[in-house]
Amino acid sequence: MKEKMVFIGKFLLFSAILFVIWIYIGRYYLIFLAQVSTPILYLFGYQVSLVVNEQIMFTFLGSEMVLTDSYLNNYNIVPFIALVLATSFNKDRIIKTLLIGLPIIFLFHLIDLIAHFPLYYYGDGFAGFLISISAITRMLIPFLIWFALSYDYILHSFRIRKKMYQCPICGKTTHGIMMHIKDSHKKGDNQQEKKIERFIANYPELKNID
Amino acid sequence: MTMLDKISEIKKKILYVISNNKEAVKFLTIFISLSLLFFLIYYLIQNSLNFMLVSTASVTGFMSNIIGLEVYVDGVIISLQTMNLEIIHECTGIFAIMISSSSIIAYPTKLKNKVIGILFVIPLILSLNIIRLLFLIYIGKYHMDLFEVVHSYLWQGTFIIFIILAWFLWIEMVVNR
Repeated sequence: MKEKMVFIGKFLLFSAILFVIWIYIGRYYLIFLAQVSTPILYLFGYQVSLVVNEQIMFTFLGSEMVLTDSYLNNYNIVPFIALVLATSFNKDRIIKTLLIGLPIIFLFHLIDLIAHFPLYYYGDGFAGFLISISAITRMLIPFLIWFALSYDYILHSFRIRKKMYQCPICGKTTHGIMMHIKDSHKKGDNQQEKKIERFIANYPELKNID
Repeated sequence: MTMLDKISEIKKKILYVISNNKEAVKFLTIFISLSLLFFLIYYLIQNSLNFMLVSTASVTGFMSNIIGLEVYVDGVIISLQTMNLEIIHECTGIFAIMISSSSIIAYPTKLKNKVIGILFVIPLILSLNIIRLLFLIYIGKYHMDLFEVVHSYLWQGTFIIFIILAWFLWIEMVVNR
């Protein structure tokens, strides 16, 4: 219970902090997204010009496509990062998860932005479908990527497990063995640490749980 | 090592991961399939769901007038003195309901828990959505300059956070009890 509440608390805290940060950097992310999409739009035959001043917009065929206020489409990066940071991973795994997840989210943002052109200029039905479905993928993707990359943690933290473990130091039997070891047995004792290492080697599923 | 060997090695690794994590793969597959299925149903019958737009506008208008934010509702348009708000499908919370329901149905637990979860999450999302719209009306009436920021970030974005929190709470309070 404590572990889950800590996770939810951390998730809310990171979401709030990242939300404030996003207000300031969201615009730069949008500019970056527009810059990356420009050559791709050229490939598809849209000779667009990207204009960045107080506004962020594409001009094409004498009309403007203003992006300035479309931060919303990119906001799902925030809950994704907050979920990853709130998960009790070591630094390497946080970095690995972000390095896999963020490009996937970026790809969805890119597809969403590019699909606006065939829809608005030629009324393309498939592009319209892609934009419509982004209403759902926008919410779904951060959660899905996080789950796919963290299922071992989630299955350990959010389900009642039948499996109980016996503490290698004091012999206590409990579900939350790693939490017990962390709370009850202080670090520093070499003999204890060797016992814990051997214990984890016997139960590799506990490896990623702090 | 040839290219074919490498591909076969990757294939073996993927199959190994899948066979060792059947529960997670099953959850993800059902979750994605249901979300897409719900969306396809919505996409095909979206015109029949217009009653949700009108009822969202009506309830929001009614609540606004009760709490002293005077507005006028005409179909899907909520008129403030400063601006008009048009209720579209994204404003009804329907996508959040689809995702939350999919995550609950896909989770491995008893049918009773899933029914409780869906009955818990739908009114929760609808209520949060009305609160969101009331807050937007307040901002639209008294702090027009903040409207875009609040509309974009504070509410539509944080809806993702609400969905995830509702799922966690359901697992904690219903499934794990």
